[in-house]
Amino acid sequence: MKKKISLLAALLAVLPAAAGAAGDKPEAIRIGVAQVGTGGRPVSGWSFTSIVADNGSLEEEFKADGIPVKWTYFSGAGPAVNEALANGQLDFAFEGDLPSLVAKGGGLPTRLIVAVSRFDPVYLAVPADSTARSLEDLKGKRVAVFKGTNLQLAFANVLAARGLKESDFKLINMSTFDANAALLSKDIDAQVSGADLFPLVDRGVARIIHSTQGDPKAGRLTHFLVQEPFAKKYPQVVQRVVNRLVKDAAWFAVEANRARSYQIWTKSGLPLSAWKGDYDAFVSKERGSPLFDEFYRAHYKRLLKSGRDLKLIRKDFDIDAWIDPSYLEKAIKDLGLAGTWAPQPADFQPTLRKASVTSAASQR
Amino acid sequence: MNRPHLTLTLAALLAAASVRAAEPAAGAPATSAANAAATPSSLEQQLEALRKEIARLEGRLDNEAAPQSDVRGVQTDVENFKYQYQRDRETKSALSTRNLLIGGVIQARGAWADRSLSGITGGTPTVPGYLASTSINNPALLSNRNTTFDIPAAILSFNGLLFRDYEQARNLGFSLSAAAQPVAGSNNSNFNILDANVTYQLLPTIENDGPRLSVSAGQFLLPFGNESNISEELKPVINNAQFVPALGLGARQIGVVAKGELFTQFDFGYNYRQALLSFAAGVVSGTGPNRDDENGAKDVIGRVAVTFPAEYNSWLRELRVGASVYQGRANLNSGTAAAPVYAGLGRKNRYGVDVYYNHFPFGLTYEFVRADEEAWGSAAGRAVSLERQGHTFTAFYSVGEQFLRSIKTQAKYDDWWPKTFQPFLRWDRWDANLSAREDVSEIATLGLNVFFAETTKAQINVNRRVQQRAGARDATSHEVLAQIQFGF
Repeated sequence: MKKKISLLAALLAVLPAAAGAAGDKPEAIRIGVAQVGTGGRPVSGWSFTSIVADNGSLEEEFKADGIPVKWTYFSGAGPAVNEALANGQLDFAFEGDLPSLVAKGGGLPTRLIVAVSRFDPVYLAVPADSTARSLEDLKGKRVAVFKGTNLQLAFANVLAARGLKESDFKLINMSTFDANAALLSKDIDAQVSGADLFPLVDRGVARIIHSTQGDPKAGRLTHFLVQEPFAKKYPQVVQRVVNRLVKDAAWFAVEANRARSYQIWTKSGLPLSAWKGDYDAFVSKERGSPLFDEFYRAHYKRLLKSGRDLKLIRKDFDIDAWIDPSYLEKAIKDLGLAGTWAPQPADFQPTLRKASVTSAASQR
Repeated sequence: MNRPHLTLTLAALLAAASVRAAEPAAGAPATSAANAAATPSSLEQQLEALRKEIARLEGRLDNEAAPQSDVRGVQTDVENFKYQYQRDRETKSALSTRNLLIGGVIQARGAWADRSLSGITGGTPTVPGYLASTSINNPALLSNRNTTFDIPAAILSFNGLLFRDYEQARNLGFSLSAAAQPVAGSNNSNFNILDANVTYQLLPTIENDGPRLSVSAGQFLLPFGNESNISEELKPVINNAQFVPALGLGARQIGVVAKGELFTQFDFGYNYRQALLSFAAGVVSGTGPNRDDENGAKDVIGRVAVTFPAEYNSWLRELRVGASVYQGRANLNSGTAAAPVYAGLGRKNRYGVDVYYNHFPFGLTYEFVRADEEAWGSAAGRAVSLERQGHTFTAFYSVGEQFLRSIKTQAKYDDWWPKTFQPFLRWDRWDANLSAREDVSEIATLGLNVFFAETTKAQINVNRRVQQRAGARDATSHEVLAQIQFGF
């Protein structure tokens, strides 16, 4: 009996040490992406996110440590990413503003560690032969929006700015590509979406009647976040991940790499016209800035407030406390990238390289 | 178009544009062109013309019309596709008048019992009641049998919409399913109708939020508690809790039932819907499936369940408490099954309370059911009251993402499905008569479900049964069931 007790005591003494040894590095780095390609393919076209995923820089970074990097793309977008985060299936995620705000407001322990994009416009498209020329023309009509994604909040803000309400329309919750198909079959009268609408315009089956390209404060935000417990446990791993991201963000910021970036994005299945239509008007290093500058923070605060007003976000919280810029700042310093991106003031107006879709749409 | 190709094309167009811009206008003297080329303003004009030409050519790159040969090629492909599609539809497709989803569930089972079965009573094989044996089709002669293979059920189902409301999704749906189950004492299977009902959504279902109200008419599972309200493909344990078959709660009933949800919340951040209050109320014949009513008294069923209003990220997510009531009347038979004699109506009431907590990766369920009924007492020569009750508790843990919707919707190139292992424990107690002593049966089950493809799971259950026996020692028996359940 004594022998058994000694053996048990020895085992109990060894177990925590063994657990500690196993905890030095994660078994895998699990990254969720709130987007899929056409046909549900596990590829996305999304700022420098796609560059990192495409060039395998993270896999290369952790190859010597034997830590695999697992990318998971979700057709359910942000809400599906949230579910996976809440159930401990992911360590990091590329997500949009509304789902992350909802999750944080509900107590999900996340920290934003890199900004990924800003000014992301929303477009409202109608079938090509529709008589609608403006939002007001669609009152009482069936408008599809992917609820729970940042499209929902951006569209609500567009409506509010024009004195309209969601209840003025028959809003239908549909995923991006389902709504594309429904727009073609005219099961819906309009779709609120992003770059995916341009190929429909290109094929002559849809028209964009509203765009927020010229209005940065109506745009959407996206970011890279980490689960707080993971960051506390593996801060060095998080830093190395951010370093790689920032390096690729700097590559993306060079205008000469725009065409190559578009090429990588087309692997998502959306053709070149989608990316030219959505991104040509913007300067890469402005829209793809990873900085948590005044514009980014102020816009996030605006989005939190409007989300709260619309009762989409249950609890208030401090945006500044949610953002953790320490990894980003260290990465910029270590990589010698200071000055690559100019901090944008709260009232920043992006430089437009060409006429925005808003003005192009009005000419049709 | 890739980058090198685009660059080359632009360069070629630029060169062509330069040559074109440098050429004198038709009919103009060569000398004047040469003179004009010599002046700075002329050079500026040429430069401007070149810029415009480049812009025009760049524009052509973006909006170039397809050549006729390409258009004809596409036309040919479309015609070929139309022909092939029409031909396949006529000769190789199952057609239906309405929207239809065909499915099925088949169970293939192997069983082992720790006591051999060889009892024969009056020429009929009998399995002692104290044995944990769930074989349902024993041959006429049994000899020293510990193991057997079964096909307990093969179910074919048809579901679809009879009317689809595109505006508000107040749809009219139907459900038809039938199960082939072995018939005791023969090599045949009975093919019996399970579900046969239509359901109309009285409130819009186009959105995930908002209240719900539906009415179903036909033959359906009773909305009573947890155990008896789960269809075959979703049951975590191979055998039902003992109270389900004993009280007939797992049998389909014919009638009308309304189901609804009130005070709903839909968290778009997680695509998580919860209804603070869900309810069901209905009227059924009470005689089970595929059978007419036996008396004028209708049986009524009612259920109310409250789901704790919690954030998705809260540990209180999916905590539900429910209460169910079934009140009915059954004909009392003072004769025999072969020569029945009507002896009035007897109570057939069931009351239940259930708790359901499913918080990935673990979950707990508990259900208590009490029956208050009357049966004909031959000895007393009158109807006698009978009270019966059961408790069932289940705890499970999932390793894998089978029950996470998000993971199942992730983008994949192949036929991927999250492999999941779900060990569970169940304790099931059934007291067939509260007034009688020593008639309690307890079954403890240790089980494992392995989900290895989208509609297929392997199950293994180890059952330990302790049966009280009046005036004798409790009988303990063991059984191992291994089952593959696959669907399509």
